[in-house]
Amino acid sequence: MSFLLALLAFLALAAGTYRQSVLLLASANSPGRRRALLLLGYALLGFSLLPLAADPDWARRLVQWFGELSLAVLLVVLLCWLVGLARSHP
Amino acid sequence: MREGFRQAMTWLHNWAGLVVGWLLLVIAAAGTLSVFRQELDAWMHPELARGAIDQATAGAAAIAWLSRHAATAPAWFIDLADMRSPGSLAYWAEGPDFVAKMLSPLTGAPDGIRDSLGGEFFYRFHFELQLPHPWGRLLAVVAAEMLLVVLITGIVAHRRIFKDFFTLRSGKGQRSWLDGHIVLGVLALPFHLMIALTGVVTLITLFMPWAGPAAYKGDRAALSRDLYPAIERPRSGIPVPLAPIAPMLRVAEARFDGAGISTINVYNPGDAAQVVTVSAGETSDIAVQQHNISFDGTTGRMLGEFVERRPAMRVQGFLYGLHMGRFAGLASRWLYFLSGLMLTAAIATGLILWTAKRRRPHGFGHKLVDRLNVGFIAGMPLAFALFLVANRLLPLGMAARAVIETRCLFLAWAAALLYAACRDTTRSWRALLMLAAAACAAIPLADLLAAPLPGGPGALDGVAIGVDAVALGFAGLFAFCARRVRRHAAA
Repeated sequence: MSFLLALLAFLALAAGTYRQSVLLLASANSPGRRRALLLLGYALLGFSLLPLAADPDWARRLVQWFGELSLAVLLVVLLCWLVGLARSHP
Repeated sequence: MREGFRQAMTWLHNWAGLVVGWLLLVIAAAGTLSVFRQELDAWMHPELARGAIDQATAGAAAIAWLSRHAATAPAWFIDLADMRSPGSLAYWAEGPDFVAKMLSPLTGAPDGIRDSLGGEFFYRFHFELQLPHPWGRLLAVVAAEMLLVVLITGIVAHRRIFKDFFTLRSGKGQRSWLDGHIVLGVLALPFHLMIALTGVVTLITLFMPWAGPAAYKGDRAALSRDLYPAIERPRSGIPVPLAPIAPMLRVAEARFDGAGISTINVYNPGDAAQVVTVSAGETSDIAVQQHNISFDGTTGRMLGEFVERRPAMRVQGFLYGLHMGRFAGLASRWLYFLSGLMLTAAIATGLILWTAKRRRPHGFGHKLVDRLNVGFIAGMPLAFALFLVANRLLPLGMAARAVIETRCLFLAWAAALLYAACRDTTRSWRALLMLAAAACAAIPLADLLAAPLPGGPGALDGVAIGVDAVALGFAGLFAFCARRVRRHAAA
């Protein structure tokens, strides 16, 4: 659950940056929409911590959460890279 | 932030990273592989059955064998078989040397089990670097300290760290290497910082070698007794057989509350002063804490129990536990492995970036770094893969088989370094990456060729599938890199 939320968070954060929004959506988001996506991304990142709060084994889960963040952002970076490759070699 | 400061940090990042880069690369790669040390142990000893083990029976069998074959040793040290480790690893001193044998948990004997260091090689190599004590550990702690410096200066140096967070552009030369370096460094930054800091803490007595002896006025034995309390008795010289070990292990198991047994140490075996110390196994706690029970080896009576509760030692145990990741379940272990790979790749891309940024490609320094990069970045995985292939292909009865396995690794690595030194770098990159890909692909092939009987010990199971699949993944990655080098050269 926290991994899925982190993945969605990083997708929103990527779409909230100018360069990645152009890459992912083929056109730049408006500054207002980018700000909203960034806010959504940070909120989702915060929410991804919630399942840990309810877990009695929260310390171990927190270590795992950091690993899940790395995996989630790696997947988003690879997605952006693949989209970039596809766009440059249509 | 003032530009002068940032430039100074960039300079420090570049040069500190270069000076310890190859050492860090080796340490990071070996550490990453040792996340699955027990699984590699199991893969490299396919004669041993994997699965549930009665530790008391395994311990008793190992002690019975040692009583017959290492009766004169001053002490026996046994890493007991458990769910993840299919065999018991026993150590004892024979003259000036230490002997290590993998023992069957059923018979207690090493007969029929191939002589191999297994995953233990990568674990030891991670911090001992195959050097005599304490030089490997000293180098490792200096490298860990430098990694912290490189990480912190890297954060300061890369001013667009958050702007470029998701950016990975291919085919743009130096810019692409920088993107890759930043992405790999930043994505797992909390892991990188944690592993560097806890690495220093793990070897803290080498990092600050004079603090302890100064506090204890040079009495290192007293320092050691305080750090690791144990019941010690001088040898009496009166020969007495060891009491049955299984009842002692059952008592210890009950008191360890489900943690299982990690190690059994027998001091003065066969002497009236013999002491058996049993340590608790891994729990789901992050901290690795000492929990030992000592027994009188002659009577089997419990002499004492020690549970670490001192705050400073608990903090150290927590940081050590974070570094070792023994608490981690399967998912967390894979995440440790992935983060370790990212650290290794960040170091590799940093080293390549150093040469890509320099404008004097014909200078001696540039050539040296370029060739060492090829020898280490492409040569190391080739050597590691051949180590695993040798495990399957060397004859089982070969004398000093474990030593020859290790020699295969270092000879292949030396050959790769020599080849990289003599050939044009584009060619040597391509050739060594292709060889690394072929060696990785040969691991599952060799495993299949030397496969044990279906359903027998070491047959295709989760461990075998995992190791073979990861090897194939690396084969694909190195083949992809070799193809990119060829394309780049053609362009």
